[in-house]
Amino acid sequence: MNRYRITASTFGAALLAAASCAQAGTIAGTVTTAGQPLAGAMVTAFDGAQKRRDTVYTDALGNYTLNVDFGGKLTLRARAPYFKDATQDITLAVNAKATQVFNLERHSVAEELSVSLPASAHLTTLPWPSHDTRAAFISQCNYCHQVGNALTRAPKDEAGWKQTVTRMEGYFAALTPQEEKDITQVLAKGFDGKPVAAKELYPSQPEVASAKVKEWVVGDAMSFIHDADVGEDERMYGSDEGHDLIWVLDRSTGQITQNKLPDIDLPEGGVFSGVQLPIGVFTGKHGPHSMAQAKDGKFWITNALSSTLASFDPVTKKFKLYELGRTHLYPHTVRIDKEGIVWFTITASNEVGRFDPKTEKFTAIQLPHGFWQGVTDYMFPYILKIGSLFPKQNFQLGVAHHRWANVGRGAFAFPYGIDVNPVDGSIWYAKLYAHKIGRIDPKTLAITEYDTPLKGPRRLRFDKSGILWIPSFDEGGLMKFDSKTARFQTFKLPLLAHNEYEVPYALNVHPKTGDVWITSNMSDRIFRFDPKTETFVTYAMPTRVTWLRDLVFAKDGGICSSSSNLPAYGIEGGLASFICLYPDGEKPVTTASVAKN
Amino acid sequence: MQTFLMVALIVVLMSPLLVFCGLPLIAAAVLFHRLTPLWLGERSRRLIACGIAALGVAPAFDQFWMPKNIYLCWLDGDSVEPWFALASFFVTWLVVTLITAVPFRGRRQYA
Repeated sequence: MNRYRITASTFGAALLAAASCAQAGTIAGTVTTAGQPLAGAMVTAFDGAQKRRDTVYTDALGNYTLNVDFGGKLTLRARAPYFKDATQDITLAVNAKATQVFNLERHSVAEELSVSLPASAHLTTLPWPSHDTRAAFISQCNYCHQVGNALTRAPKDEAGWKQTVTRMEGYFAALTPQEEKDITQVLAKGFDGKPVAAKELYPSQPEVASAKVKEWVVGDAMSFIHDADVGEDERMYGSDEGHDLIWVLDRSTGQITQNKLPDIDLPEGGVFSGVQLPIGVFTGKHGPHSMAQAKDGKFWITNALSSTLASFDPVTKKFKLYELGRTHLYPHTVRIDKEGIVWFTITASNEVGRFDPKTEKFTAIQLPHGFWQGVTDYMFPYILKIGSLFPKQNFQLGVAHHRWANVGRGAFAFPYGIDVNPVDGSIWYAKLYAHKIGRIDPKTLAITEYDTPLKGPRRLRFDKSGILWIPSFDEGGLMKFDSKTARFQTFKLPLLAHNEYEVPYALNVHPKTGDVWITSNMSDRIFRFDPKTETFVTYAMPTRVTWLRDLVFAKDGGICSSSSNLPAYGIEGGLASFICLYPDGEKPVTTASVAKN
Repeated sequence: MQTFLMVALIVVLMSPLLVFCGLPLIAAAVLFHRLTPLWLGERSRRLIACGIAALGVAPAFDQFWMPKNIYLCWLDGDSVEPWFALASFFVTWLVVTLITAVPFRGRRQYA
């Protein structure tokens, strides 16, 4: 541990030096429209290689100040909802100051305005035949990506949409045959290429003016950085589920490196080799999904496709694999408790895993299930095993009871998010398709489950007082659960226009402020919820098709994540990124703040 | 070949469901066999009964090769190509006839 502290201190000093050297300059100015200041506009600086994007927001007077740590030839862009983008190329010398004024012109052409709207707006006019079909669509078709963005709203006839929906079912969208038909028809009718007329209302919130967003492009058009974490060294680590890589970003220098997981005796696709996984994106065997850092600095990584757990030492860059057994399907979200025990959900086999790094002992805890979920739990490993005899042929769909028994996604429980209660050390998980949360006693492993008032509980987190915060993916809500009284309270996320919806994937509770930060994912925004006032602040993201996963807090005030819409080429610019939002502006990392941990 | 093997395996695994869903016509086939000994010979009765049962069991396949009884597809308003329905019916008839031949032969030997 001492050795680690010395390393961290040394690194912190280097980081501070790098941070001060990297300061390239400042761009300041105003954004106006028709002579009036435009508040909440986003001004983004792109570096010459288009690998970096720094963004600030204008204040009530339309003023902005953008400090960038990259210089040379830059492109500046001003963007605001309902206005045309304005761009300007500039050259910024080291430590120089530049002034740039933008005058934005309001969209007057319906098609151009429509194109500028987020995915959420394009779904407002879809003619749903029933609430249930819409619910199935929200749950299954937005599972890994937006629908309604430029890539996914291209008009197609019914045969074309049937082909797309069939492909998505191959990627694990669990639809009944009727849902499949209805969704196909709705998309063929609804995405007709005509401009949408959603009247979105972006709230004017002064808190946003102090914020800064930094994005670092990572990987290629096929990269799938599922989760990101900020290490004790303040670097960002991202698990590329498709390519068996751990990406590492040094946020002070912008340098990005990659670490390849060791090979394993499995075919491409791992245990899921019989499944036609997203073409081109999933070329690996492990599918590293989520990660959490232990006190000793090692990251623990769930490998969803190979049914293994991996440790990764960020100093030596070495991995160590631990076989869980191939009937434990899709190890998912991972957290570490105070005792150093690694807990993780095992989604497709309805289990929670417990792994003790000291003894290297793995325990699988089977979670309660209903009848059809029980069929899944017992049969799915064998179906996948048989399916592996027919690589990428989707054998499992030929016998899938979610189709023939007409139960759809209800055939799965899907334990998803997991967290440790800081008050009593108990382990809590969310079941995405069973609409439950559950508690595991860490000593006795006894399980208690609770139905959630809103559907689709996804990645939940505790605050320091033992309040559990849960995003409702299916119903665009936020749930507050008092683990002492077992009482829920619900909040609806703010929408931009009538009939829009949000799919909050994850949230996290700021350890100091207690604010709950929530991903929105359909409207390219991040929400901040203040539990005291029960109000939301919304931060529009500068890049269209921002699809965020786990949110993590950096010591420099950043709320960080990976932009991991699947596929990455659906994101504006065509590439995934690491992303950090600094609500109070960017602060340099100090040596002390790094060393204290 | 690989696809053929996969589909064959799917049919085998799904056959209990096909039989279950075909029970109304299987029941009709049994009834027919029981009621017609005075009018038809055993061989003819068995062939026709197997044909009736095959009408209930013969599968169509969706895009994932999941089988579903053709008569249920028709009841649900799903289209099945007539040539495919006919081919499926004849193959199923053959399979049902072969399967039922085993207990019949056993019964004759026992008698």
